Amino acid sequence: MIKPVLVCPFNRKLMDKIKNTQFIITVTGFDDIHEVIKSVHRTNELLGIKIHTEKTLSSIDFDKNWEKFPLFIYAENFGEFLELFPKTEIIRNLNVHFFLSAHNEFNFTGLKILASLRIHCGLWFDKLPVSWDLMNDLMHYAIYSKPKHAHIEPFKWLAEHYAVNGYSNYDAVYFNDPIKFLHINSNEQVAFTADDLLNNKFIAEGAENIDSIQNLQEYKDLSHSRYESMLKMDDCSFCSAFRICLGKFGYLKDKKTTCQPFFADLHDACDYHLSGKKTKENILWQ
Amino acid sequence: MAVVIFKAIEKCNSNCIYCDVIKKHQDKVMDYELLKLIFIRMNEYLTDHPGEEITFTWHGGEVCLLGAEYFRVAYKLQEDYCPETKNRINHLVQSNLTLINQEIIDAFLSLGIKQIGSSFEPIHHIRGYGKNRDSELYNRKFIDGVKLLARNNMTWGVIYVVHRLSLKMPLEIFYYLTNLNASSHPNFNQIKMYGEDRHNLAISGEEFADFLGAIFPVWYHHRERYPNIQPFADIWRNTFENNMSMMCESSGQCTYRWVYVGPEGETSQCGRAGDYGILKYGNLKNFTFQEIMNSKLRKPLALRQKYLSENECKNCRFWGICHGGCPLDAFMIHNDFMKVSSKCDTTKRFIEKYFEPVTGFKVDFPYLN
Repeated sequence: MIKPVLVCPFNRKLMDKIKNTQFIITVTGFDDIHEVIKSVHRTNELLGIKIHTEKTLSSIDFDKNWEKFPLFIYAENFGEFLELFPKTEIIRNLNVHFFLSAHNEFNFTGLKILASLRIHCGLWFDKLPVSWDLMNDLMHYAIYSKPKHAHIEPFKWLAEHYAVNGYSNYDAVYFNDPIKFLHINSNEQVAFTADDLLNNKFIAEGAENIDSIQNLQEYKDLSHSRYESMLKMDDCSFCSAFRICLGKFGYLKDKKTTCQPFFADLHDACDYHLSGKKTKENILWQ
Repeated sequence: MAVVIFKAIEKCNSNCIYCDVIKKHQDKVMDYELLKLIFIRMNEYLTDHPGEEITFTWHGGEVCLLGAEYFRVAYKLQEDYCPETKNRINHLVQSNLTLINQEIIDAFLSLGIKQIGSSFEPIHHIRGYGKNRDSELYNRKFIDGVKLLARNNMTWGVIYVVHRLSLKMPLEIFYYLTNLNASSHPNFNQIKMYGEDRHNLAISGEEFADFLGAIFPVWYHHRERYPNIQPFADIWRNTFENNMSMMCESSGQCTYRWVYVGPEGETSQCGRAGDYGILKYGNLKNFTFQEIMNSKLRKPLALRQKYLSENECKNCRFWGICHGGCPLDAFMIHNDFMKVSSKCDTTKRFIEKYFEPVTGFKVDFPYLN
């Protein structure tokens, strides 16, 4: 069993206490980045820093000294292209992934611009997507478009990790797949997801108990949690794309004109991507 | 390979609307003495046939009602009475999974059972407990059983019985079942009614074909996603891969391969024959497996293949994947084995109306006898 990565806020005391662990550190300010890097205990491995910012993407002052560390920047808005354009050279030299809210219409254009500039990026779903048509359009660009462009998540992740006879949880893109990531707060309370942590749904308390979480039946049953969804016999359990969505938009009332057609198209795109991979393997002259 | 459909128990904890077991009100359980004899008989047969294997299918009723101890005893009997042949006995289980527990799973594993065949129904009050068929509780227990199997790295698959209510929602049922288990896909079977159809659930062969036809285009375009949906996968392989493996009822090869063993040692052709009470081959207390497998009473089934291919099915391009269908079904309808079953209508309609237009291929299966 692979040890899960810990997603935690920047807290020196906590990070000193936990050893031999891979971390994703969440911060809210860019000033914290250097502090985080300095503070990670030598037995631990920093996989990335996740930053939620209220700034627009274009207004961020990028620092070339961030270049060694994977940064995952979540912003509400793309901002102004003219403001971002002069910064593209420095951004390309950083190991940075931008995530823009699916709630803002211009972000969909912004993501295409970023991807075409070979900057890895993606959508994040803090609120309902502003438009399922825009989602579909972006997904088609991400998976089918021939001109070279950078990854757009979560589409690229799903296409790459798609299990044709299994289930795929694209929440891994957001460090929120509990099989791979656990979330801990400064009070050393541990939860399966970021939402669970916010809603006080803890599975363990105390940094010293982290290693034993994998022995909990609750943890072992995570990979079978979809069965509970099936028991609800709701629209999601009868949906053609459940295997790649896992009911993430189950709260929507009218799924037949919103998430279901979108995810059905995404499912087809995953098949297309998979068939492309197979073809590449088979054709020697390529 | 000989296939034994073994019903040590016919009692069931559920009250599924289409099931014959409940109507029979059978409470019989095979005793350990007789169970011992079964293993002795299997050992005799396998010793006499060194190249043979037996697929021993634990069927019911609900096999988990037997309890873990029963399977532990079976394991002990196999160890004691089949020391040289036990590796050629492959145990399979058919269970509704609602009573399975860790003790039973441990006993199954000792018998080498790593996968379980089951059934599931997303439409409420078809499968369930009690007079009103409490499907909510039933489904809860089923899912608990499935989770327990997963914890033990055991696999499972379902047969879905297509009935009149299913006809309204073929794709929904298809998606539900493939979502429920993405790695092992369902087998769609037409409902078999025993006696009076009090709930108006029976469907014709044509209606069953239309049910399959509603799903087939989706399966065809996404067959890598859903590789083993039956009967599609078999028809596909038989058409394009020349791989003639088929369900028993279509194979035309069931005559000398199958045997049903009931709780009192009584035998007949197969599980369906046991349910119908026809083609009885005698009791294992009085006959060996060899005698039962070669019973002269099986002869009409062997003759049927030749007879149909020269008469009713002569020059039929679907012969190779149909073989006249299940002889027992034909007998129950016509009181005559030398007739085709209702599957004939299903096969023809499905292939002509759905399979060929969707795939663009014209099928031809006349060659296999």
